[in-house]
Amino acid sequence: MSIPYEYYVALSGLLMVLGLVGVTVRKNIIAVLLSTELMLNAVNIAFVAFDMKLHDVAGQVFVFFILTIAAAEAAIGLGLVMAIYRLRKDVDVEKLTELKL
Amino acid sequence: MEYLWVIPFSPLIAFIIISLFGYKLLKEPLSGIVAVIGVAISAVFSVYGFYQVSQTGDYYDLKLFTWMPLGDYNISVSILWDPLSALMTCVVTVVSTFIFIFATGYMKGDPSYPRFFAYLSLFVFMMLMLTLADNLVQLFFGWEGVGLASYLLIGFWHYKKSASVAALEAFIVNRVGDWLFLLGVLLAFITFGTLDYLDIFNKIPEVGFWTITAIALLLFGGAVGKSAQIPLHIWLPNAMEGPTPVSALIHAATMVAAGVYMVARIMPVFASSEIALDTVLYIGTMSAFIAATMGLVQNDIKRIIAYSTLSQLGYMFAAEGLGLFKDGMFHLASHAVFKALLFLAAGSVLVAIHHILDVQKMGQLRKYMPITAATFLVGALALAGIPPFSGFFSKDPIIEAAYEINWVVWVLLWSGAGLTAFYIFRLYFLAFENGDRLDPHIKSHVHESPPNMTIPLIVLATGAIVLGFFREFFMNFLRPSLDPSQMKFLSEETKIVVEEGLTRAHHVHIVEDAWHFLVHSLTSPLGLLILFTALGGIFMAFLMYQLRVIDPVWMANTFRPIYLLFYNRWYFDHIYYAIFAYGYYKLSKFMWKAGDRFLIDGIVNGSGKVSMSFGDILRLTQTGRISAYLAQMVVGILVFLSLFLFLS
Repeated sequence: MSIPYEYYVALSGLLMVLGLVGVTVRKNIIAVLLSTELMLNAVNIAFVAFDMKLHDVAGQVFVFFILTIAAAEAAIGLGLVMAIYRLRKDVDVEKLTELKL
Repeated sequence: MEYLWVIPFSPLIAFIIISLFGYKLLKEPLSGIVAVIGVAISAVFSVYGFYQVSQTGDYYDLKLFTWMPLGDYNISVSILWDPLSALMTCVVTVVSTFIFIFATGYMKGDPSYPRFFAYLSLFVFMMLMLTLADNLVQLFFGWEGVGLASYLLIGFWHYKKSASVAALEAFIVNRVGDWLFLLGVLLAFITFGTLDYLDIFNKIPEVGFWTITAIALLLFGGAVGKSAQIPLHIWLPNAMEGPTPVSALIHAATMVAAGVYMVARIMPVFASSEIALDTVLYIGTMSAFIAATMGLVQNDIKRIIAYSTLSQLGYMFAAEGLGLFKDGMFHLASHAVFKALLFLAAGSVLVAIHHILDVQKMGQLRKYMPITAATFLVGALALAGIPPFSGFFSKDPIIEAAYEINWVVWVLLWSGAGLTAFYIFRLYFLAFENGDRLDPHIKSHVHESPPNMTIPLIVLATGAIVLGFFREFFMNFLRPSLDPSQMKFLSEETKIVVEEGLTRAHHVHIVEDAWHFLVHSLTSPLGLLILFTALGGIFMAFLMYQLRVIDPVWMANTFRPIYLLFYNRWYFDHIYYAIFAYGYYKLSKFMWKAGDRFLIDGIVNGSGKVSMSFGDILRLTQTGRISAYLAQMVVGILVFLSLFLFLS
């Protein structure tokens, strides 16, 4: 009838790993940003799944907050990407190594 | 007896006044006068106290104030006034007064004139703290204080390298003795639980033989250093680098006698240990003889007298080791007078001939300085032990008593007496008589010293003549302090112990009355032998250095090995240099290489190197690439999560 919550958790874990791999592997900053969105949503799925299992609304409330913040974060992130692009005509993560002396 | 507190504090006040206002306000004559007044006041008070105590024979223990509480025991600053400390205090203050007066003339024109008198006053204060102490801590305070004053005064002309080196040597050699002394004080405190002499004396019967022996030997170690006995004697001849009044006051009359005084002061402790008394006896005898042989061939006028000081201090210790504490103290008093006299006369000579120390370059000084020559002759006769001068009445009884107790000691002391007579008259003939060897340029300036130098000489010479006749008075005077049967502060049990320790001298009967002693020693074979030994020494010196019948150079060549042994002072300085100076240098070099270069530098540099190489490894992780940081972060999170998961 209903899908057991383990499936959701497994999906959430899968998405998380995908996101992590994306963040580490991709060179384009925009792709890295997308991957972080993926990880946020993995967390959202986990929240909803446990919420369903424990019959508690708090998880869903969190999900709304996370969605809102993710939207804001995406806006700021894209703004930063624009700024970086204007500065360097390039958005390759491998070449952003100013933090290292 | 409350007025006694003036005695130590009047020189202290003089010291404070001179050191505060000396250079700006008092300047040259006044600061000397302030010092003389300071010490003269304490001399007057101590003579008055001496008179009072000679009437009653009592003892007074005044606690002035508590210095520091130490558990159940309070260390106090106090005055123990009994015949022994009264005698020593009088010797110190009276001799000091005359030496201070002499010094006002001797130091004339010195740019550091006020500093000199400040130091001298400080010395007298410290010395009085030492003599008046009623406990070992105050004694030690004075003991160190006189060491400090001695250091400052030996190095008074600090721009002379030899003087500053000699000052350091005196200080360091004394430190060896003081270290033993301090150990002795600590052991005494652990054993007795108190450091007041009178309480210690009454607890002696409860303590084991070996503990008492250890305490006595450790304390005697301090006396060996302070009184410059063999093997810690090397500093005293070099201490003659200081101004001559300092040599007279500190290194002849008073400070070096502190060891003798200390042994007499805690006589019951020494008397209850056979081993301790024997050590005192043999160290004293050895010093008396060896120092006399060293004095034979020296050419420095002050060093010759310094060696005679060593030798005479040896006689005092020998007397104490023989159990004749009263004779030892009497010799101390008479020695203080005639030795101060000899030094001051030498100082008067040095001022006249512009500080040439070599006796081979003097001669016929008697013509130019009759008073100095006459007073020096009196001092020399007293030192040689010729009747009726004071040295005869104080030194001969020791030698005669040694004959009846221990023949080895007697032989050494007896031959030492002959040597003493020889070297002091060698000095007299070379300096004041004999040929004319003075530099003609200097000779035109030589003249007798001013009255403030000659009057102390005359007073001390009078003392050296008459003091011996008061032998009986001094013996009776010291009895309440040094004769166990009459010591009021000893308990009955302690008296028995002390009497037992002093049995070695019980069969000795030296006539105490001066006249009878004089008659006795001029009639008995032993007395005549000693007298003729001294006269023989003088006659030898007369033949060799006045008539030149026997050529000293020929003598030196004939007995070359002995001459070299004496001239090089039995190689003590060389051996000490080889062992301590050179050994310390070698040790320092080894420590520098092994400890400093290898160990310390190794640790410091090594920790630096380890940090550097760790840093080199760790910096590999800082790539600058965001993805790498992220990967590290993920690994970190995973590690902590799994720890959290599996360990909780």
